[in-house]
Amino acid sequence: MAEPVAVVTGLSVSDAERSAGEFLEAFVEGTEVVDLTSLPAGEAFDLLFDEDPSAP
Amino acid sequence: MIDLVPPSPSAATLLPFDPFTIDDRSEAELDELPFGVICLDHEGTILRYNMAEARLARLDRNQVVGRNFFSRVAPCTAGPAFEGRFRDFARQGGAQDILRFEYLFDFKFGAQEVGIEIVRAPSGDRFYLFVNRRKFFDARRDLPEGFAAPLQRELAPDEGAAGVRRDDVDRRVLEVPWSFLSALRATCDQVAPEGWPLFCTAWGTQWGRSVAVDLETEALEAYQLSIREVPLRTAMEMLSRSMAKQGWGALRVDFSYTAQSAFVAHLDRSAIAEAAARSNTMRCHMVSGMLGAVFTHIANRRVAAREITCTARGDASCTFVVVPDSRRSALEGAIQAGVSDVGQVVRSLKRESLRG
Repeated sequence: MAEPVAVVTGLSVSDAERSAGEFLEAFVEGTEVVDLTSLPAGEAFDLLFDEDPSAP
Repeated sequence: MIDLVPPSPSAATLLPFDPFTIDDRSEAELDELPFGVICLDHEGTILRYNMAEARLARLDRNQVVGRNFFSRVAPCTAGPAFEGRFRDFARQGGAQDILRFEYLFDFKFGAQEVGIEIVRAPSGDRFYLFVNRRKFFDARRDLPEGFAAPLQRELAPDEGAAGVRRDDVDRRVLEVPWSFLSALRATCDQVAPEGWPLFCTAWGTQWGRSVAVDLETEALEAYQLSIREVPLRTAMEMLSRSMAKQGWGALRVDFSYTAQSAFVAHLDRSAIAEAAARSNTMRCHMVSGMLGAVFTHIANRRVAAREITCTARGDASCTFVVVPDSRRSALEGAIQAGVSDVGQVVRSLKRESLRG
C-alpha cells in the first residue's frame, strides 16, 4: 500500500503549531524590499547569492 | 426595554465598513463576511440572508427569504428574549443604536451559542441582525415540538424529485462530469483567447472568498476557533481535504521557501488541468485565484498565487507559487520569462525584490 502523501511539508514543528493567521501574517509582513545600495557590497552579494534551498 | 449590553467579541466591529451602511452593501459583500447577516422587515420577514448564515444554519437562502424569521425559520427565537427585544428595538431603537444580546439557537443538528447585534437601516423599515457564533453544542433533548429550527428538507420537502442535490451540510451542489470544465476551456479559447486567464483568475478569487467562509464555518464547528486561529498545519489540511472532497485534486503545501518570502502549493491530478487535455499554456488559473483569496483571508493581508507548472502542459504536477502581493508582478514577470523551476522562480523573485 502506498505511503500517504504529506499535505504539509517544509515546516518546523513549532511553525506547524503556530496559528495559521499568525504565520501567514508574519509571512507577508516579513517580506521587505532591500535597497542593495544601502548595504556593504559583501552583504549585498550574500543576499543575492545565498544558498538555494532546492539545490541537491 | 432595550438591552444595550455588548457581547464580546462584536461582529459589528469585524465589519470592513460602517455597520449602519450595511443596507447599501451588495449580496457579494455580505457573502464575504465570516459571520451571519440576516435582514428583516419590522414584522420579521426575511429580506436578505448571507452565505455564512445559510451555511451555519444549514438552510438554503432561496427557501428562507420571504418567510417569517421568528415563526417559520427560527421558532426558538419566538419569545420575549429575542423576538420581544427585536420588536421593542423596532419601535424605539434609534438610528445609531445597536441592540446586543446573547442567545442560544436550537437546531435539530445542534445548538449554537451566538452573539446577536441588531442595527436599523437608514430607511428605518429594515433591520440587520449580525449573528456571531461563539460555541457549538449537541442538539438539546426534550425541547418542545416545533421549538428547534426546521431542517432544509423540512422547509422544502421533495427537493430531490425537483432535481436538487445537497451535500452533508445541506448546501446545494452540482455533480457534473469533467466535460463541463472542458466545455468552459473550449469556450474561453474561442471567445476570449487572450482574456481567459484573467477571467478565470478573477472567477477563482471570487470562489476563494466563499471557500474561506466555508473554512471559517468548518473551523468554528470543529474547533470553536476562526480559521486564522487554528494551527497552520490543521488549516492546510482542512483546505486540502475540502478540495479533495469536491474532486479538484490533491493539494499539498510546501513551506520550504518561506525564508525567501514564498511558499509552494502542488495540486496533483488537477481536475481543471486534466479536463484541458494537452495545452501549450497553463490552465489552472481558477485554482490560482482561489488559493490567493483563501491565503489572503487567512493572512488578513493581500497574497497572490500563480501557477508555474501545469500537467495540461506536460509538467509532472500543477505547481503554484504563493507570494505577498508586493511580489506579484515580479512573480508574473518570472512566469512570462518562462521560468518554471520553483527554486529558480524564488531566486528570481529575490533578485527582483532586491533590485526594487
